Amino acid sequence: MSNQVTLSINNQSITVPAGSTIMEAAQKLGVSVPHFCWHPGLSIAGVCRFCMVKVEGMPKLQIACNTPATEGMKVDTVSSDVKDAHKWALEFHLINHPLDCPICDQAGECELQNYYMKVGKYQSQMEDEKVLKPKALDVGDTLVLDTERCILCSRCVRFEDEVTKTSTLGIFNRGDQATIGTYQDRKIKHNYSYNLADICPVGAFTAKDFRFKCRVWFLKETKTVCPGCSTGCNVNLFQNSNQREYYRLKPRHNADVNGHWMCDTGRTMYEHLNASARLPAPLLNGETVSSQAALQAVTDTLKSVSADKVAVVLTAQFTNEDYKATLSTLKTLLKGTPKVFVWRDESEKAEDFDGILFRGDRNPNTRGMMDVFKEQGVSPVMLKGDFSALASAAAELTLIFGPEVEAGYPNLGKALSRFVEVKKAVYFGNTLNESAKKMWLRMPVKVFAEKSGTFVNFNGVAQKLKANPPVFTAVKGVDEYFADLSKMSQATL
Amino acid sequence: MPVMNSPYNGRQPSEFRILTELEGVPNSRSLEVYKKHGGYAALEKVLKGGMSPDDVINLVKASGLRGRGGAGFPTGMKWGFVPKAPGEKYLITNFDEGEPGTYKDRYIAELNAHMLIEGKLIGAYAIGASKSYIYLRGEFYGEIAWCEQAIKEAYDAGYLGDNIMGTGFKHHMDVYIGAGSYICGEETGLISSLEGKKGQPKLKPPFPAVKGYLGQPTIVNNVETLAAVPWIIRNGAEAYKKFGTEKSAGTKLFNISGPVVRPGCYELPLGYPLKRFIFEDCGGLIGGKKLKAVIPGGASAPVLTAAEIETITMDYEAFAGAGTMLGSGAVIVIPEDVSMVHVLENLMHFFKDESCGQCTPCREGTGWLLKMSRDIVNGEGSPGDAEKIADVAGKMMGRTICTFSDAAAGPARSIPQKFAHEFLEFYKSKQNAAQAHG
Amino acid sequence: MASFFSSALNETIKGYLGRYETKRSSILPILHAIQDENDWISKEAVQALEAEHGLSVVDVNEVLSFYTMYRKTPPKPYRLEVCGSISCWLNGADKTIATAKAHIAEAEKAGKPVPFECHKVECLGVCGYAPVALVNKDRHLNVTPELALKLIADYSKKDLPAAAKKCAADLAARSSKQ
Repeated sequence: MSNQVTLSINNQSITVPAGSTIMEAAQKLGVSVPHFCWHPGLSIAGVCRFCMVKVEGMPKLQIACNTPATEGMKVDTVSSDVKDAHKWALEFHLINHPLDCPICDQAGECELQNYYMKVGKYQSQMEDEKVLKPKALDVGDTLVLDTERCILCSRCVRFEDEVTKTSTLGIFNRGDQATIGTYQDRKIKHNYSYNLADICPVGAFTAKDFRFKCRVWFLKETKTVCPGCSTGCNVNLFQNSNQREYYRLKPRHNADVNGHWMCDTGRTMYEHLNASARLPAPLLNGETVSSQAALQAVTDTLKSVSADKVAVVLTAQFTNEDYKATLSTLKTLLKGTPKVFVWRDESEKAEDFDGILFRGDRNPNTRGMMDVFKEQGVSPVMLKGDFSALASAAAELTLIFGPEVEAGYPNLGKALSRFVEVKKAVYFGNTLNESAKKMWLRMPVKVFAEKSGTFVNFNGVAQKLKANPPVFTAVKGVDEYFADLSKMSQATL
Repeated sequence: MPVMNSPYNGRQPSEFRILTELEGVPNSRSLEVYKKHGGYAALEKVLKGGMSPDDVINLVKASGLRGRGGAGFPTGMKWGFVPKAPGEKYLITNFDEGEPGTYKDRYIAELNAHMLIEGKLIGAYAIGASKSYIYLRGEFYGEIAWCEQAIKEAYDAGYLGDNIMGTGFKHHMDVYIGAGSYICGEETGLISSLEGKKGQPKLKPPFPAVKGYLGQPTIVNNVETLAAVPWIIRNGAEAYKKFGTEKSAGTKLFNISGPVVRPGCYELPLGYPLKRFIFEDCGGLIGGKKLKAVIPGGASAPVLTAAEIETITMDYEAFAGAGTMLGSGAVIVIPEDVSMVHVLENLMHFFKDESCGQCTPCREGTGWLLKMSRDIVNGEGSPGDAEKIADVAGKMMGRTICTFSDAAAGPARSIPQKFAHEFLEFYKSKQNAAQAHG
Repeated sequence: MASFFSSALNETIKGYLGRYETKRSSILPILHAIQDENDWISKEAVQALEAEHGLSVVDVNEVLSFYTMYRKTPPKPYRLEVCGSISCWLNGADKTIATAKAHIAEAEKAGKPVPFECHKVECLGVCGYAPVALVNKDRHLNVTPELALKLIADYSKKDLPAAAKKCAADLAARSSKQ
C-alpha cells in the first residue's frame, strides 16, 4: 500500500514499487524511453544522457534512469523539447562515431542505428575531423574491441565489476580522448565474455566467431533453452533459415533461471547443430541405410530378446518426452523393464558451480530424467568411468543414448570404445567420433534446436524447447523413433 | 598589499578585514600570531561555551554566509542537510582552486591556514564529522606545505586529536593531494578523486550530504567559506550582515587578472561596485587601455561588455540579474586590443582539456566547440559559425551530470551573442588576407 | 624477489596504503611518490604496484591517464610549464611559451642542448601575477619571455635534481640490457 507509487507517463497510469525509477516504470508500462547506458542487470551510470524526459514541476529535463518515481508524478516522453533533447543526445554520440556500418557486424542490431531511425533522422552539423582511436584489438579468445566505435556507455566496465567481478576493463584518459580498454595487452579471460558483446549497444565489442560471417537481418531467432549444463539458461538461437545453418546464441532474460546472462560455454551450442558436425543418416554395420531399415533391424532384435537381456544406457541430455517414450515403449514391447543405466562422464563434478551460472552437471535434464525414472518405477545403475556393471549385464541388445553436447563428455572416445564391446550396440546420437565406428547401429537424432520437448533444470524448473525445421529432414527425434518402433512391432504381430 | 583605495559607505578600508586581518603582519603564518589575533577563540566558544551543533548551524544560517567556491549556496543550510543519524560523516575542504582567474584560497593559506582549520573544526562539530580532509590541487606545492605545517601545529596544540581542548570532541584532519584536473573542483568530482579514482562527478541523487565519500554523509566546502566561520562565531551573525547586501551578506575575496595596474586578492564587501573596483582599487588597465569586456566570475561566467559594467555591483543577485554569475569572484579584464574571437578559442581550449569525459554531451561537445572556434581563428569561418557554437553549447546545457557543460556554455554563448560584430569583421579580414595571398 | 621500488619508496608506498580509508585512495599520492623519486611512472612501476602491493592495474592506469601531472614517459630534467589559460594568455603567456620553445629547439640544434622541455598547461591558480609558470616544483610569477630565458639559463647551471639523475641512470641501464 504505502510501498507502491502511482504515476502517469504520457497520461497513462502505472503503479510501481516505491524506489523504482521512471525508466523502470516506463519499461513496465511498455513506453519506450531511448537509452544506451542503462541496463536492468547493471548499476545506474547516467552517462549517455539520452533518456531525457520531462517531469511536471521540474524546470530541467531529467534522466529517466536515475529519477525516482514519486506518487502523482507526471512524466512526458514525447513533447517537442524532449524530442529535441533526444535528437541532440544522438548528435553528440554520432559526431565522432566512425562510419563503419558497411563493415561492422553490429549493423542491423546497432542501437545507434536503431535510435537514429526512431528518434533521430536529421542532418548532422559536424563538419570537422573525427577523433581517431585504436580499432580491431584482440582482447581475448572470444572478442574483438574497436575503441573508436565505443560510445563510452560503460556497460562493459560495470559488467566486469559487478557480474563477473573480474574488473578487467577501464576507461582511460579524459575528455574526448577517453578510451575503453584492458590494461596494456591483457585479455578478458572468463566464461562470460560474450555477454560483453551482447550488452555493447554498438559494434565496439564483437564476437570473434561471428566476425564477418553473416548479416544479422538474415538470421531468424528461436526462443529455446541452452543444453550445455543443468542451469538451463533461456536463450535465443539464431539460424540463417535460407541455409539451415546456426550462427550463435544469445541469452534471454528469465528472472528465475539465468537473469540476463549466459556463459561462454553455452555460446558454443550452435556448432554441433550444423550439418558438417553431425551424422546425416543411419549406419548399420557401417553401411548407410534408411531410417525404416534401421528401425526394422531394431524391431526384429527386440522380438527375440527378453527384457532382462536389454540394456538401456541413458545420458541426461534428452527431453522428458524422449525418456518417457523410450521406457514405456520398451516396457510394452518387452513385456518387462529393461536394465537401465545412466552414463555420466568419469571426470564430471556435478556439484561444481562457478558462482554465476555454469554448473558441473553438464547435462540439461538430469532432474527431468530422474523424475521420469520415479514415474516409471525405474532404478538405474550409474556408469561413471567403470563400465563393469554393463559388462556383467551381458545384454543381447544395448540401446545407448549418447550425449548431444560432447563438450561435457571429455572421455567420450574412451566410453564409446567400451560400448562397442557389448553385443548389438545401438547408438542414438550424432557423434562423428572415430570410436563410434564399430557400433552395430548408429541412429542420428534431432538436436535440441529441432525439438519441442521439456528440460527440467537443477532447481526443478521445467522449460520447453522450441523446434526449428530439422537440418536433415529425414532425421527424427528419439520419441518419434520409439513411436515408429511401437507401430512397426504391432504391424508384425 | 591589495587594499580598497578609499573609504566605502562611510567605512574605512581597514574595517573590511575579516579574512585578511593578518595581511601585512610579520610571520602571519605562525600559530602564535594567529592566536594573538583571536585565533581559536571561536573554537573555544563553540566547544566550551555551551553551543550545540544546531546552535552553530543556526548561527551560520543567520549570518547569510554563502558558499564562496562559486555556487553561492547558503552554508548553514548545506550543513543542515546532513542527517542526524549516527555514523561516519566527512567534511572536506575544496582547495582545488582551478577556475581561471581565481587565486584567493591560496592567499588564505599564505596568510594563515589556521583560519581554514579552525573554521573546519567548527563545521565538523556542527555536522558531527570526526574526520576531514583538505583536498589541494597538486600544483599548489607551497600551499600544501603550509597546510601540512598548520595541521601539525594544530595537533601539537591540542586543536586536533581525540580530545580537543579537553572537551572530548574528537576530530582528525589530513590533506589529500590532487594531480592536475580542474573537474576535481566539482564537489562530487573531488569526492571521486579522494576515493582514488578519476575525478568524475557523481550522479545526483543521491546528494553528497546524504551519500558522499565512501557512501557516507559528506559536506564539501570551499576554503574561503570555512575561513570566514571563526570570525562569524566570534562576532555574531548581525556583525557579518553589516557587510554586503541583504541577500549577499559579508565580505568576499575578489581576484582581478588580465592587464591591470594593481592585480591581487582584495577583500571587499559584497555589493561593491565593479567599475570602482577595476578602475580605482586596481588602477585600471595597464597603459590606460580602454576596457572592452569583463569576465566577472571566473572563466565559466558569461562575459559582460564594458557598457554593462557601468553601474553593476558585485553580488550574487546583481550578477545573476545581468545574465552572468559571481562565481568565485574572479574578475578578468579584457582590453580593447584583444580579439574576442581569440578569447573564445582560448576558453574553449580550457574546457576541452578539462572535461572529464564521462557523459556524452560534454565529452563530445567540448571537443567540438574547440574545433569550431579553432576553425574560425584559422580563417575557415563564415557567417553563422559563431551562432552555431552558441547553439551547440546551448544543447549541452542542463543535460549533463555536473554543471561543467553549463560552464563551457557561459562563454560559448555570451561571446558570440555580445560580440557578433567582431566575428563578422574577423571572417571578412581573414577572407581578405586569403585573397591577398592567394 | 627484489622489489621494483627502492626501500625508501616502498616505505612511503606502505605508508600511503594505510593512511586513508581505502587502499584505493592511496593511488594518487603513491603515483606522486614514484614520480618524485624516478621523475616518471613506467609501466613496470604500475605492474609492480599490482604484484607487490595488490593494487589493480586498471584502477592505477585510469588515474595515471586521467590526471595531467603524471608523466608516463621519461622527461627532461626540467619542465617549464607555463599557464596558457585566459588570464595568463591576456598577459602574454603565448609569447613566453613560444620564446622558451624556440630557445630550447635552437640550443638542441646548435649541439648545446638545455635540460629543459616546455609545455603549455591550464590555470595554475595565481592569475593576478601572470604569466605563471612552474619549473618542476618551483613556482615563478610574471614570467615574461625574458624571465623564461633567464630561468632556463639559471636552472641549467645548477646540479641536476636527484630524480633526473636517477631517471637517466635507469634509462641507461635499460638500453644497456638490450
